[in-house]
Amino acid sequence: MILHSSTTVTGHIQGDDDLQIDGRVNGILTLKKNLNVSKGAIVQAHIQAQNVVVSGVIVGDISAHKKIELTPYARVIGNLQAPQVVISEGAQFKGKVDMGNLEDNQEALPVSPKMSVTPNPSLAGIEDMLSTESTRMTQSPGNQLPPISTAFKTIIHGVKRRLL
Amino acid sequence: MMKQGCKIARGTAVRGNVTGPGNLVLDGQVVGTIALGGDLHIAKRGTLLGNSQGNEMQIDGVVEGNAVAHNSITLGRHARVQGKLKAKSVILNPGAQFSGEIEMDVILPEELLETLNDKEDSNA
Amino acid sequence: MPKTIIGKSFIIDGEVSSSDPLVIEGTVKGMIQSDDSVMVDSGAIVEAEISSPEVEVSGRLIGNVLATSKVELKDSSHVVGNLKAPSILIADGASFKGNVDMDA
Repeated sequence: MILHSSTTVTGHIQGDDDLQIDGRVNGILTLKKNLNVSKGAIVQAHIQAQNVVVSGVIVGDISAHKKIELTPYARVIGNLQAPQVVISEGAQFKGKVDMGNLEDNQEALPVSPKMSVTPNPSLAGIEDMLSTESTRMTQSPGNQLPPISTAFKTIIHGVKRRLL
Repeated sequence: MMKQGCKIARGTAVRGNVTGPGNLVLDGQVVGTIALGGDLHIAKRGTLLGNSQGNEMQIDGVVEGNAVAHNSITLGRHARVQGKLKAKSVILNPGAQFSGEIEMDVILPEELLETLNDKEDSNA
Repeated sequence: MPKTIIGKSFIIDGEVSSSDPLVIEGTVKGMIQSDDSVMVDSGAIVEAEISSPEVEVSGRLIGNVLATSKVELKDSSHVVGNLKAPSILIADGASFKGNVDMDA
């Protein structure tokens, strides 16, 4: 599924398929597969997915089952948790990184306690992130919402489609 | 003019502080701090337990400690690093193992700056 | 065997222990130990105990030297400390103050 660049979604997105975000998302993303945040996208959310590739802006914690990759255009503030994290030259990042236990070596490095980043299913923590504009927005009759594939269950507080 | 370099070979261990205006290649071990005007290269079998400071850093070995670079810090595929990394650019190559914190300047779009300022005010 | 070279403008404050040959061109304060050899270059400043099979000094050294094989003080050396080794060579021009013990 692709969230187009003119779309803003506020709320909790859960899905079994790959998701590409070209627009804006505020809230929580819980995905069984892969997330791709495109270059112009702005995401303020806690994210959980299989693989996450970031080329846009993310403010929030990211937890991936396999890999998080920040491409040269990525701008991320938040904590990253995944067995593999790749940060390319050009990416901008600020936050913690947890790849799990470091391999034992001769020097016996003490291992920092695993940081568990589990997104809180309740939306209480991110209420302040939701823009008041979005919550006011209701579906008007003539409004053509993008079809939501059956693989995605979206609990949406408001979907705003900005006309360019 | 080439800056004078320093090389700590595989069989050498230093317990203490190392300071110098030039570059350093660490193939051995340092328990202590490294402060350089030049570049730091921690080779694949090199180990640093302690903080470091330099111009550019290439880490291919083991580091436990904080690292501050004037320009960039790059972790190669054999790197095993734990600590806080601060630089203009921090690069984690595939295979690099890292646990800790990274701080780079992050330029956010204007529309987010307001949101973040509100968050910080409410957290304060 | 690869050498460890402490460069000319470098300062080590602490202990250096090694199985490699050590070449000191900079400053070391503390202790130096090598299983191979230690060379204190002409521009080097060392305030440390040195312990190694072979020790060659061309620079400034304040500290005792314990060598299992030989100690050589070159003509440009300035040494204050005791030397203990089965073979000791102090070149003409070397500046030395300390005890010499060849009864290893």
